[in-house]
Amino acid sequence: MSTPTPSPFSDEELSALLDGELDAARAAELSQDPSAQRRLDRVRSTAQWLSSTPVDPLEGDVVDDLVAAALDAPAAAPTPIRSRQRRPAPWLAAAAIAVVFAVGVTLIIQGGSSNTDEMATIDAGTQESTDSAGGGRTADDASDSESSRPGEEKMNSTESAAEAPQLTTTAPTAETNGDVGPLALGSFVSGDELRVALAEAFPSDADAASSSSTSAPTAEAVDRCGEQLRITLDLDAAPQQTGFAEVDDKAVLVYEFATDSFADGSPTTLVAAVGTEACEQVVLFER
Amino acid sequence: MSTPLEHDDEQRLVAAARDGDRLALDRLLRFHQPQVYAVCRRITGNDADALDATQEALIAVVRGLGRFDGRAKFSTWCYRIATNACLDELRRRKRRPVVGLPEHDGVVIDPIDHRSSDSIEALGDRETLDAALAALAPEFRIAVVLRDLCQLSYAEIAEVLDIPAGTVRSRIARGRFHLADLLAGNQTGPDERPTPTP
Repeated sequence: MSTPTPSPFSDEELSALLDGELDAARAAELSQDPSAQRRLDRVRSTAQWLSSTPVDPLEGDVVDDLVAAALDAPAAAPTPIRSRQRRPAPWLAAAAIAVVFAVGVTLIIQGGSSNTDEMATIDAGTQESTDSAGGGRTADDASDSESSRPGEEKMNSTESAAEAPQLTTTAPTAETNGDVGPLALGSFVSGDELRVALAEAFPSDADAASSSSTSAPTAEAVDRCGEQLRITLDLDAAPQQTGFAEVDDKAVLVYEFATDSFADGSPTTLVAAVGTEACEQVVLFER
Repeated sequence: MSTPLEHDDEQRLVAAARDGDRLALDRLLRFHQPQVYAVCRRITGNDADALDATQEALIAVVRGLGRFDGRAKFSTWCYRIATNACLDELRRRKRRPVVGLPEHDGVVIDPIDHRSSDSIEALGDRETLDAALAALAPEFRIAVVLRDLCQLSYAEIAEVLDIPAGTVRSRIARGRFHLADLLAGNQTGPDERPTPTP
C-alpha cells in the first residue's frame, strides 16, 4: 500500500504560478500534480475574490475636500510632534545649566585648593559632557527643525505621509539624554552573516564601536521601525536592545525583543533587522 | 475614475504640476486618488482610517512632488506614499483605544463551503474580506493588496516597498494562503503551518 506523498510544490511556487512568475519547466511539472492543482485553485479563488471585490469610491464632494486640502496644505511639513517632544523646553535647559553650575561651584568650594587641579578636571569633564549633550541635541534640533527639509529633499522615493524615514549623519539622539543609543554592529556581507554575528547576543559596546563603519540612525528612525515591528510582530514590549549595521551596503536597524516563542510560547528573544528607510525586514529569528 | 492618462500625458502633468500649475496638480491628484483610497481602504480595514490615510498621502504627494524624479512610475510612487501613510495610520490606531469598531485580533471568519466552486465569488461579503485581511500581519496584507487589488507586478511591489522581489513573492504567497486558510475556517497562522519544501 502506498502512502500519499507530500506535495513537492511550496505555497510560494503555487502563488508565483498564479502571477506568471514561475518558470515554465516548474509550471509544467506542477500541472501534473493534482494535489498542487487543488491548492492552486483554492488560492486562486482567494486572489480573485480580493481583486473582484471593489472598494466603494468616495463621494464627489469628499474627493473635492481631499484634493482641496492637499492643494492648500502648507508647503513645508510641520516638525513632527514626537521630535518636538524630545527637545527640552528652554526653561528645562536653563535649569540643567544652573544645576551643573551649582554642582561645579560646590565641588570647587568643598575640594579646597589642594584639589584644584582635580576639581578642574571634574568640572571640565562635566562641562564637556554638558557640551557634548548640548551639541548632540543642537545637532538633532537642527536636523529636526531645519534639515528635516534636506532630509525630505532626498526623499525622492522614500516618502512617508507623516514622517519621512531618514538616515542622518548626526549623532544618535538617544545618547543626549543619558540613554544607551543603538549599538554600532558593523558591516556584513549578507543577512545571514548578521544573523550569525547576533546568534548568541548583541556584541559588547566596545566591540561594536570598533567595528562600526555606518553612520548612526536618528532616534526617530529607530522609534519608527521599532514601532512598526511591534505592530507587525504583535509584540507588547519595547525592544530591549537596538543597534545599527550595514548589510550588503544597506543601512539596517537591529532590534532585540523579549517575547514568547512562536513555536511553543516559551520566553525567547526575537532578533529583527530592518532596512532603515522603509523598515522592511532583512533578518528575523528567535534566539 | 478620471479619464485614463497616457504615460506621456502624465509626464507632462507631473512636469507642469512641479512648475506650479495648480490645475495639473489637481488633475493628477484626482486621477490617482481612487487607487490611493482603495489601497488605504483595504490596508486599514475601515472607512475612517482609510480617509485619514488618503488625506495624508495626497498631502505627501503635493509636498513631495518637487522631489519626484521620474525614475519610477508616478503611480508606483503614489502607492509607496499611500502604503507609508497606511502604516502611519495603523501605528496611530494601535496607540489609541478604538470604541465601537471590531477588534480583529483572533478574528474568526465564517468558513466557506468549498463544495461550490463559485462559493468565494458568491460570498462577496466585504465585511468578511475586511476581517480576513485584518487578520493578516500588515506586511503580508500590504503585499497581497498591492498584487491582487492593484495588480502590480512583483518588481513594482518590490519598488513600492523597497524590498527584494524574492521577499515580495514570499509575502504574497504567505498572505494569500493565510487568507485562504481563514476563509476555509482554519485559523492557524502561516507561521504555525509547515511549509512544503520543493
